[in-house]
Amino acid sequence: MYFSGPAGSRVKGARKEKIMRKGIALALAVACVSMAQDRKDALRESLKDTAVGAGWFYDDLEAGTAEAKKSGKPMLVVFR
Amino acid sequence: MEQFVCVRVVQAWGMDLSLFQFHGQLTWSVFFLNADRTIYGRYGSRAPSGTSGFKGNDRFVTLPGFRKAVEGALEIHKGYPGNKAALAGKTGPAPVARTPEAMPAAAGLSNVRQADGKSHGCVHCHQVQDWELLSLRAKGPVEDRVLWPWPMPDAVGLSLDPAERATVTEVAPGSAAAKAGLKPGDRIAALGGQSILSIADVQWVLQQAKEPCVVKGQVERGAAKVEVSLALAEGWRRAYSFADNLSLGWITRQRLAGFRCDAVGPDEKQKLGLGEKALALRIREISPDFVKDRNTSPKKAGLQKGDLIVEVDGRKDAMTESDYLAFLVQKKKPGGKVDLAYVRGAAAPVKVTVDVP
Repeated sequence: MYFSGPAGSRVKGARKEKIMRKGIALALAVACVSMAQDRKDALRESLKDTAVGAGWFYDDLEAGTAEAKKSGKPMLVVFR
Repeated sequence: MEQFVCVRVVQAWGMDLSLFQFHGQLTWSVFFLNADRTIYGRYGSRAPSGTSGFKGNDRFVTLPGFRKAVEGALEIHKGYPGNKAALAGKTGPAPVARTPEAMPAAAGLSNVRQADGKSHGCVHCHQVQDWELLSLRAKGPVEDRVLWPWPMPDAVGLSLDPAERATVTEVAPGSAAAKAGLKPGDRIAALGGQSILSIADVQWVLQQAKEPCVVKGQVERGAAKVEVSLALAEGWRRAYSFADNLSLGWITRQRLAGFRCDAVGPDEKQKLGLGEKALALRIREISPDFVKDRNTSPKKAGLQKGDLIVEVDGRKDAMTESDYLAFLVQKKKPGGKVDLAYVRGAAAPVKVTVDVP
Protein backbone atom coordinates (compact mmCIF):
# COMPACT_ATOMS: atom_id res chain seq x y z
CA MET A 1 0.00 0.00 0.00
CA TYR A 2 1.36 3.48 -0.88
CA PHE A 3 0.72 6.64 1.18
CA SER A 4 1.61 9.98 -0.31
CA GLY A 5 2.48 13.12 1.67
CA PRO A 6 5.21 14.23 4.07
CA ALA A 7 7.52 11.79 5.94
CA GLY A 8 5.42 11.88 9.16
CA SER A 9 2.28 10.84 7.37
CA ARG A 10 4.20 8.03 5.58
CA VAL A 11 5.24 6.65 9.00
CA LYS A 12 1.66 6.88 10.22
CA GLY A 13 0.55 5.21 7.00
CA ALA A 14 2.99 2.33 7.46
CA ARG A 15 1.78 1.85 11.04
CA LYS A 16 -1.81 1.92 9.87
CA GLU A 17 -1.00 -0.66 7.20
CA LYS A 18 0.65 -2.91 9.79
CA ILE A 19 -2.39 -2.67 12.05
CA MET A 20 -4.70 -3.36 9.13
CA ARG A 21 -2.66 -6.42 8.12
CA LYS A 22 -2.74 -7.75 11.66
CA GLY A 23 -6.45 -7.07 11.81
CA ILE A 24 -7.09 -8.95 8.56
CA ALA A 25 -4.91 -11.88 9.71
CA LEU A 26 -6.76 -12.03 13.01
CA ALA A 27 -10.14 -11.85 11.29
CA LEU A 28 -9.12 -14.66 8.91
CA ALA A 29 -7.86 -16.81 11.81
CA VAL A 30 -11.10 -16.25 13.70
CA ALA A 31 -13.09 -17.09 10.57
CA CYS A 32 -11.07 -20.30 10.00
CA VAL A 33 -11.45 -21.40 13.62
CA SER A 34 -15.12 -20.58 13.43
CA MET A 35 -15.52 -22.55 10.16
CA ALA A 36 -13.59 -25.50 11.62
CA GLN A 37 -15.77 -25.33 14.71
CA ASP A 38 -18.89 -25.18 12.52
CA ARG A 39 -17.69 -28.28 10.64
CA LYS A 40 -17.05 -30.11 13.94
CA ASP A 41 -20.43 -29.06 15.29
CA ALA A 42 -22.10 -30.24 12.07
CA LEU A 43 -20.24 -33.55 12.24
CA ARG A 44 -21.15 -33.97 15.89
CA GLU A 45 -24.76 -33.18 15.12
CA SER A 46 -24.89 -35.58 12.16
CA LEU A 47 -23.44 -38.35 14.31
CA LYS A 48 -25.87 -37.48 17.11
CA ASP A 49 -22.75 -37.46 19.23
CA THR A 50 -23.93 -35.12 21.94
CA ALA A 51 -23.12 -37.16 25.05
CA VAL A 52 -19.39 -36.34 25.09
CA GLY A 53 -18.38 -35.09 28.55
CA ALA A 54 -17.33 -31.50 29.15
CA GLY A 55 -13.61 -30.96 28.90
CA TRP A 56 -13.12 -33.45 26.08
CA PHE A 57 -11.39 -32.35 22.91
CA TYR A 58 -13.74 -33.31 20.11
CA ASP A 59 -12.03 -34.55 16.95
CA ASP A 60 -9.10 -32.22 17.61
CA LEU A 61 -5.97 -34.19 18.40
CA GLU A 62 -3.69 -31.18 17.90
CA ALA A 63 -5.49 -29.15 20.55
CA GLY A 64 -5.49 -32.12 22.91
CA THR A 65 -1.77 -32.67 22.40
CA ALA A 66 -1.05 -28.99 23.03
CA GLU A 67 -3.05 -29.14 26.26
CA ALA A 68 -1.22 -32.31 27.37
CA LYS A 69 2.12 -30.62 26.70
CA LYS A 70 1.03 -27.61 28.73
CA SER A 71 -0.49 -29.51 31.63
CA GLY A 72 1.91 -32.47 31.79
CA LYS A 73 -1.07 -34.85 31.89
CA PRO A 74 -1.13 -38.10 29.91
CA MET A 75 -3.53 -38.35 26.98
CA LEU A 76 -6.49 -40.66 26.58
CA VAL A 77 -7.46 -40.79 22.94
CA VAL A 78 -10.69 -42.59 22.06
CA PHE A 79 -11.43 -43.69 18.50
CA ARG A 80 -15.14 -44.26 18.15
CA MET B 1 -10.55 -39.27 33.99
CA GLU B 2 -9.65 -35.74 35.02
CA GLN B 3 -6.07 -36.94 35.34
CA PHE B 4 -5.97 -37.25 31.55
CA VAL B 5 -6.37 -34.92 28.62
CA CYS B 6 -9.23 -36.69 26.85
CA VAL B 7 -9.67 -36.57 23.08
CA ARG B 8 -12.41 -38.15 21.04
CA VAL B 9 -11.67 -38.90 17.40
CA VAL B 10 -14.67 -39.80 15.28
CA GLN B 11 -13.22 -40.42 11.83
CA ALA B 12 -9.89 -41.44 10.37
CA TRP B 13 -9.16 -38.86 7.64
CA GLY B 14 -5.70 -37.44 8.33
CA MET B 15 -5.01 -39.94 11.10
CA ASP B 16 -1.29 -40.44 11.72
CA LEU B 17 -0.87 -44.15 11.00
CA SER B 18 2.72 -44.16 12.19
CA LEU B 19 1.29 -43.55 15.66
CA PHE B 20 -2.26 -44.85 15.74
CA GLN B 21 -2.25 -48.49 14.74
CA PHE B 22 -5.25 -50.43 16.00
CA HIS B 23 -7.85 -52.96 14.93
CA GLY B 24 -9.94 -51.10 12.38
CA GLN B 25 -13.11 -52.97 13.23
CA LEU B 26 -13.26 -51.91 16.82
CA THR B 27 -16.28 -49.95 17.85
CA TRP B 28 -14.27 -48.40 20.68
CA SER B 29 -10.50 -48.15 20.81
CA VAL B 30 -8.39 -46.24 23.31
CA PHE B 31 -4.77 -45.12 23.33
CA PHE B 32 -3.02 -43.98 26.49
CA LEU B 33 -0.03 -41.89 25.53
CA ASN B 34 2.30 -39.06 26.36
CA ALA B 35 2.11 -35.75 24.52
CA ASP B 36 5.53 -36.62 23.05
CA ARG B 37 3.84 -39.56 21.18
CA THR B 38 5.13 -42.31 23.47
CA ILE B 39 2.38 -44.92 23.75
CA TYR B 40 1.66 -46.31 27.22
CA GLY B 41 -0.95 -48.84 26.16
CA ARG B 42 -4.15 -49.65 24.32
CA TYR B 43 -7.63 -50.67 25.33
CA GLY B 44 -10.53 -52.12 23.34
CA SER B 45 -10.77 -55.59 21.84
CA ARG B 46 -13.22 -57.17 19.50
CA ALA B 47 -13.68 -60.87 19.03
CA PRO B 48 -13.69 -61.95 15.40
CA SER B 49 -17.12 -62.41 13.86
CA GLY B 50 -18.00 -66.01 13.36
CA THR B 51 -16.31 -67.18 16.54
CA SER B 52 -18.48 -65.43 19.05
CA GLY B 53 -21.55 -64.26 17.19
CA PHE B 54 -22.10 -60.64 16.25
CA LYS B 55 -23.79 -59.66 19.50
CA GLY B 56 -20.90 -60.90 21.59
CA ASN B 57 -18.16 -59.09 19.71
CA ASP B 58 -17.77 -56.31 22.22
CA ARG B 59 -17.89 -58.47 25.30
CA PHE B 60 -14.20 -57.73 25.90
CA VAL B 61 -14.91 -54.04 26.52
CA THR B 62 -15.95 -53.67 30.17
CA LEU B 63 -15.88 -50.84 32.70
CA PRO B 64 -13.87 -52.82 35.31
CA GLY B 65 -11.31 -53.82 32.66
CA PHE B 66 -11.10 -50.26 31.37
CA ARG B 67 -10.65 -48.89 34.91
CA LYS B 68 -7.71 -51.25 35.47
CA ALA B 69 -6.11 -50.24 32.19
CA VAL B 70 -6.53 -46.56 33.14
CA GLU B 71 -4.84 -47.19 36.50
CA GLY B 72 -2.00 -48.97 34.73
CA ALA B 73 -1.53 -46.06 32.32
CA LEU B 74 -1.34 -43.62 35.21
CA GLU B 75 1.31 -45.81 36.89
CA ILE B 76 3.37 -45.73 33.68
CA HIS B 77 2.95 -41.96 33.46
CA LYS B 78 4.27 -41.56 37.01
CA GLY B 79 7.42 -43.44 36.02
CA TYR B 80 7.86 -41.41 32.81
CA PRO B 81 10.34 -40.57 31.27
CA GLY B 82 12.51 -43.03 33.24
CA ASN B 83 10.60 -45.92 31.60
CA LYS B 84 10.53 -44.44 28.08
CA ALA B 85 12.93 -46.98 26.56
CA ALA B 86 10.78 -49.89 27.77
CA LEU B 87 7.79 -48.43 25.91
CA ALA B 88 9.43 -48.29 22.48
CA GLY B 89 7.81 -51.56 21.34
CA LYS B 90 4.35 -50.09 21.77
CA THR B 91 4.78 -48.01 18.62
CA GLY B 92 4.47 -49.96 15.41
CA PRO B 93 6.52 -50.30 12.24
CA ALA B 94 6.23 -47.88 9.32
CA PRO B 95 2.70 -48.05 7.86
CA VAL B 96 1.76 -48.44 4.18
CA ALA B 97 1.24 -44.67 4.14
CA ARG B 98 1.37 -41.89 6.69
CA THR B 99 -2.39 -41.30 6.54
CA PRO B 100 -5.32 -43.44 5.34
CA GLU B 101 -6.12 -41.15 2.41
CA ALA B 102 -2.52 -41.41 1.18
CA MET B 103 -2.80 -45.17 0.66
CA PRO B 104 -2.82 -46.17 -3.03
CA ALA B 105 -6.11 -48.08 -2.65
CA ALA B 106 -7.83 -44.92 -1.41
CA ALA B 107 -6.98 -42.86 -4.48
CA GLY B 108 -10.00 -41.29 -6.11
CA LEU B 109 -12.56 -42.48 -3.58
CA SER B 110 -15.27 -39.96 -2.87
CA ASN B 111 -14.69 -39.81 0.87
CA VAL B 112 -11.01 -38.93 0.54
CA ARG B 113 -11.38 -36.50 -2.34
CA GLN B 114 -10.49 -32.90 -1.68
CA ALA B 115 -11.98 -31.10 -4.63
CA ASP B 116 -11.37 -27.72 -3.06
CA GLY B 117 -8.17 -28.71 -1.31
CA LYS B 118 -9.85 -28.61 2.09
CA SER B 119 -13.05 -30.59 2.39
CA HIS B 120 -13.25 -34.36 2.58
CA GLY B 121 -15.69 -37.00 3.66
CA CYS B 122 -15.65 -39.33 6.62
CA VAL B 123 -13.01 -42.05 6.49
CA HIS B 124 -14.10 -45.05 8.55
CA CYS B 125 -11.59 -46.87 10.73
CA HIS B 126 -12.36 -50.21 9.04
CA GLN B 127 -11.45 -48.66 5.69
CA VAL B 128 -7.90 -48.19 6.96
CA GLN B 129 -7.64 -51.96 7.26
CA ASP B 130 -9.31 -52.58 3.90
CA TRP B 131 -7.11 -50.11 2.05
CA GLU B 132 -4.01 -51.57 3.67
CA LEU B 133 -4.97 -55.00 2.35
CA LEU B 134 -5.75 -53.73 -1.16
CA SER B 135 -2.63 -51.52 -1.30
CA LEU B 136 -0.36 -54.35 -0.16
CA ARG B 137 -1.98 -56.82 -2.57
CA ALA B 138 -1.31 -54.49 -5.48
CA LYS B 139 2.34 -54.35 -4.43
CA GLY B 140 3.13 -57.98 -3.72
CA PRO B 141 2.44 -60.92 -1.41
CA VAL B 142 0.10 -60.26 1.51
CA GLU B 143 1.18 -61.67 4.86
CA ASP B 144 -1.15 -63.58 7.15
CA ARG B 145 -0.98 -60.74 9.69
CA VAL B 146 -2.97 -58.59 7.24
CA LEU B 147 -5.70 -61.17 6.63
CA TRP B 148 -5.90 -62.37 10.22
CA PRO B 149 -5.21 -59.09 12.01
CA TRP B 150 -5.11 -58.42 15.73
CA PRO B 151 -5.27 -62.03 16.91
CA MET B 152 -7.30 -62.53 20.02
CA PRO B 153 -5.38 -64.43 22.72
CA ASP B 154 -7.55 -67.47 21.86
CA ALA B 155 -5.32 -67.88 18.80
CA VAL B 156 -2.54 -69.09 21.12
CA GLY B 157 -4.91 -70.93 23.45
CA LEU B 158 -5.52 -68.22 26.05
CA SER B 159 -8.85 -67.00 27.38
CA LEU B 160 -8.49 -63.76 29.34
CA ASP B 161 -10.85 -62.16 31.83
CA PRO B 162 -12.38 -59.01 30.29
CA ALA B 163 -12.78 -57.48 33.76
CA GLU B 164 -9.03 -57.61 34.41
CA ARG B 165 -5.96 -56.33 32.59
CA ALA B 166 -4.82 -59.72 31.28
CA THR B 167 -5.68 -62.52 33.67
CA VAL B 168 -5.90 -66.05 32.33
CA THR B 169 -9.26 -67.79 32.81
CA GLU B 170 -8.65 -70.85 30.63
CA VAL B 171 -5.84 -72.48 28.72
CA ALA B 172 -6.72 -74.66 25.74
CA PRO B 173 -5.16 -78.13 26.02
CA GLY B 174 -2.31 -78.70 23.60
CA SER B 175 -2.10 -75.00 22.66
CA ALA B 176 1.00 -72.79 22.58
CA ALA B 177 -0.11 -71.31 25.90
CA ALA B 178 -0.46 -74.76 27.47
CA LYS B 179 2.97 -75.77 26.20
CA ALA B 180 4.38 -72.56 27.70
CA GLY B 181 3.01 -73.64 31.09
CA LEU B 182 0.45 -70.86 31.50
CA LYS B 183 -2.31 -71.57 34.01
CA PRO B 184 -5.72 -70.14 34.91
CA GLY B 185 -5.26 -67.30 37.40
CA ASP B 186 -1.93 -66.17 35.92
CA ARG B 187 -1.74 -62.43 35.42
CA ILE B 188 0.27 -61.52 32.32
CA ALA B 189 2.44 -58.63 33.48
CA ALA B 190 4.70 -58.44 30.44
CA LEU B 191 4.77 -59.95 26.97
CA GLY B 192 7.28 -59.42 24.21
CA GLY B 193 9.21 -57.12 26.56
CA GLN B 194 6.20 -54.82 27.00
CA SER B 195 4.11 -54.06 30.06
CA ILE B 196 0.53 -55.24 29.55
CA LEU B 197 -2.45 -53.07 30.51
CA SER B 198 -5.21 -54.88 28.65
CA ILE B 199 -6.24 -57.65 26.30
CA ALA B 200 -5.65 -55.13 23.49
CA ASP B 201 -2.01 -54.90 24.60
CA VAL B 202 -1.72 -58.70 24.33
CA GLN B 203 -3.22 -58.44 20.83
CA TRP B 204 -0.71 -55.74 19.95
CA VAL B 205 2.22 -58.01 20.89
CA LEU B 206 0.68 -60.91 18.94
CA GLN B 207 0.04 -58.67 15.94
CA GLN B 208 3.77 -57.88 15.77
CA ALA B 209 4.86 -61.51 16.25
CA LYS B 210 6.55 -63.24 13.33
CA GLU B 211 5.80 -66.75 12.10
CA PRO B 212 7.27 -68.88 13.57
CA CYS B 213 8.65 -67.19 16.66
CA VAL B 214 8.97 -67.34 20.42
CA VAL B 215 7.32 -64.61 22.48
CA LYS B 216 8.72 -64.28 25.97
CA GLY B 217 6.66 -63.05 28.87
CA GLN B 218 6.37 -62.74 32.58
CA VAL B 219 3.31 -63.78 34.58
CA GLU B 220 2.40 -63.22 38.19
CA ARG B 221 1.25 -66.44 39.81
CA GLY B 222 0.26 -65.62 43.37
CA ALA B 223 3.32 -63.96 44.87
CA ALA B 224 5.69 -65.54 42.36
CA LYS B 225 6.89 -64.11 39.07
CA VAL B 226 7.23 -66.76 36.39
CA GLU B 227 8.99 -66.46 33.03
CA VAL B 228 7.16 -68.03 30.08
CA SER B 229 7.95 -68.64 26.42
CA LEU B 230 5.17 -68.90 23.86
CA ALA B 231 6.34 -70.86 20.82
CA LEU B 232 4.21 -69.82 17.84
CA ALA B 233 4.27 -72.16 14.87
CA GLU B 234 3.94 -71.28 11.19
CA GLY B 235 0.32 -70.44 10.41
CA TRP B 236 -0.66 -69.90 14.07
CA ARG B 237 -2.86 -66.93 13.15
CA ARG B 238 -5.20 -69.09 11.06
CA ALA B 239 -7.11 -70.18 14.14
CA TYR B 240 -10.39 -68.75 12.84
CA SER B 241 -12.09 -67.85 9.59
CA PHE B 242 -11.68 -64.26 8.44
CA ALA B 243 -14.44 -64.76 5.86
CA ASP B 244 -16.98 -63.50 8.39
CA ASN B 245 -14.87 -60.49 9.28
CA LEU B 246 -17.24 -57.59 8.67
CA SER B 247 -14.75 -55.63 6.65
CA LEU B 248 -11.89 -57.76 5.34
CA GLY B 249 -14.28 -60.64 4.80
CA TRP B 250 -16.68 -58.44 2.88
CA ILE B 251 -13.94 -56.97 0.70
CA THR B 252 -12.42 -60.32 -0.17
CA ARG B 253 -15.57 -62.35 -0.69
CA GLN B 254 -17.39 -59.67 -2.72
CA ARG B 255 -14.56 -58.07 -4.67
CA LEU B 256 -12.27 -61.04 -5.16
CA ALA B 257 -14.36 -64.21 -4.93
CA GLY B 258 -17.73 -62.92 -6.13
CA PHE B 259 -19.56 -65.51 -4.05
CA ARG B 260 -19.86 -66.92 -0.56
CA CYS B 261 -19.39 -70.61 0.12
CA ASP B 262 -19.38 -73.17 2.93
CA ALA B 263 -17.07 -76.12 3.40
CA VAL B 264 -19.15 -79.31 3.14
CA GLY B 265 -19.06 -81.45 6.29
CA PRO B 266 -17.83 -85.06 6.48
CA ASP B 267 -21.32 -86.65 6.45
CA GLU B 268 -22.37 -84.84 3.30
CA LYS B 269 -19.04 -85.62 1.67
CA GLN B 270 -19.64 -89.28 2.36
CA LYS B 271 -23.12 -89.08 0.81
CA LEU B 272 -21.62 -87.38 -2.23
CA GLY B 273 -19.00 -90.08 -2.52
CA LEU B 274 -16.17 -87.66 -1.75
CA GLY B 275 -13.18 -88.47 0.43
CA GLU B 276 -12.87 -86.89 3.85
CA LYS B 277 -10.02 -84.65 2.70
CA ALA B 278 -11.57 -83.75 -0.66
CA LEU B 279 -12.20 -80.16 -1.62
CA ALA B 280 -15.94 -79.41 -1.41
CA LEU B 281 -17.17 -75.82 -1.20
CA ARG B 282 -20.91 -75.29 -1.59
CA ILE B 283 -21.83 -71.88 -3.03
CA ARG B 284 -24.13 -70.19 -0.56
CA GLU B 285 -24.68 -66.96 -2.47
CA ILE B 286 -23.49 -65.25 -5.62
CA SER B 287 -22.56 -61.64 -4.80
CA PRO B 288 -25.78 -59.65 -5.23
CA ASP B 289 -26.08 -56.96 -7.87
CA PHE B 290 -26.34 -54.14 -5.33
CA VAL B 291 -22.70 -54.67 -4.29
CA LYS B 292 -20.95 -51.99 -6.31
CA ASP B 293 -17.45 -53.44 -6.51
CA ARG B 294 -18.38 -57.11 -6.72
CA ASN B 295 -16.57 -59.61 -8.90
CA THR B 296 -19.17 -60.42 -11.56
CA SER B 297 -17.03 -63.03 -13.30
CA PRO B 298 -18.32 -66.14 -11.42
CA LYS B 299 -21.91 -65.19 -12.23
CA LYS B 300 -21.04 -64.58 -15.87
CA ALA B 301 -19.25 -67.93 -15.95
CA GLY B 302 -22.53 -69.58 -14.95
CA LEU B 303 -21.88 -70.42 -11.31
CA GLN B 304 -25.04 -70.63 -9.24
CA LYS B 305 -26.11 -70.93 -5.64
CA GLY B 306 -25.89 -74.60 -4.60
CA ASP B 307 -23.07 -75.52 -7.00
CA LEU B 308 -20.32 -77.59 -5.40
CA ILE B 309 -16.75 -76.50 -6.13
CA VAL B 310 -14.49 -79.54 -6.13
CA GLU B 311 -11.29 -78.19 -7.64
CA VAL B 312 -9.40 -74.87 -7.41
CA ASP B 313 -6.49 -74.38 -9.80
CA GLY B 314 -5.91 -78.13 -9.82
CA ARG B 315 -6.03 -78.38 -6.02
CA LYS B 316 -8.37 -81.03 -4.70
CA ASP B 317 -7.51 -80.92 -1.00
CA ALA B 318 -10.06 -79.57 1.51
CA MET B 319 -10.47 -75.82 1.89
CA THR B 320 -12.64 -73.57 3.98
CA GLU B 321 -14.11 -70.33 2.64
CA SER B 322 -11.37 -68.50 4.52
CA ASP B 323 -8.70 -70.69 2.88
CA TYR B 324 -10.18 -69.99 -0.55
CA LEU B 325 -10.21 -66.22 0.04
CA ALA B 326 -6.63 -66.32 1.37
CA PHE B 327 -5.65 -68.32 -1.73
CA LEU B 328 -7.07 -65.58 -3.98
CA VAL B 329 -5.41 -62.78 -2.01
CA GLN B 330 -2.03 -64.40 -1.56
CA LYS B 331 -1.59 -66.49 -4.71
CA LYS B 332 -3.39 -64.43 -7.35
CA LYS B 333 -2.23 -61.05 -8.56
CA PRO B 334 -4.84 -58.40 -9.39
CA GLY B 335 -6.16 -59.17 -12.86
CA GLY B 336 -5.40 -62.88 -12.51
CA LYS B 337 -7.59 -65.90 -13.19
CA VAL B 338 -8.52 -69.01 -11.25
CA ASP B 339 -9.67 -72.35 -12.67
CA LEU B 340 -12.60 -73.92 -10.87
CA ALA B 341 -14.36 -77.25 -11.32
CA TYR B 342 -17.90 -77.49 -10.01
CA VAL B 343 -20.63 -80.07 -9.79
CA ARG B 344 -24.35 -79.32 -10.14
CA GLY B 345 -26.69 -82.11 -9.10
CA ALA B 346 -25.73 -85.46 -10.60
CA ALA B 347 -24.03 -83.96 -13.65
CA ALA B 348 -20.35 -84.42 -14.40
CA PRO B 349 -17.94 -81.72 -13.14
CA VAL B 350 -17.81 -78.55 -15.24
CA LYS B 351 -14.61 -76.54 -15.58
CA VAL B 352 -14.68 -72.75 -15.71
CA THR B 353 -12.10 -69.99 -15.49
CA VAL B 354 -13.03 -66.88 -13.57
CA ASP B 355 -11.33 -63.53 -13.22
CA VAL B 356 -9.73 -62.41 -9.97
CA PRO B 357 -9.85 -58.60 -9.99
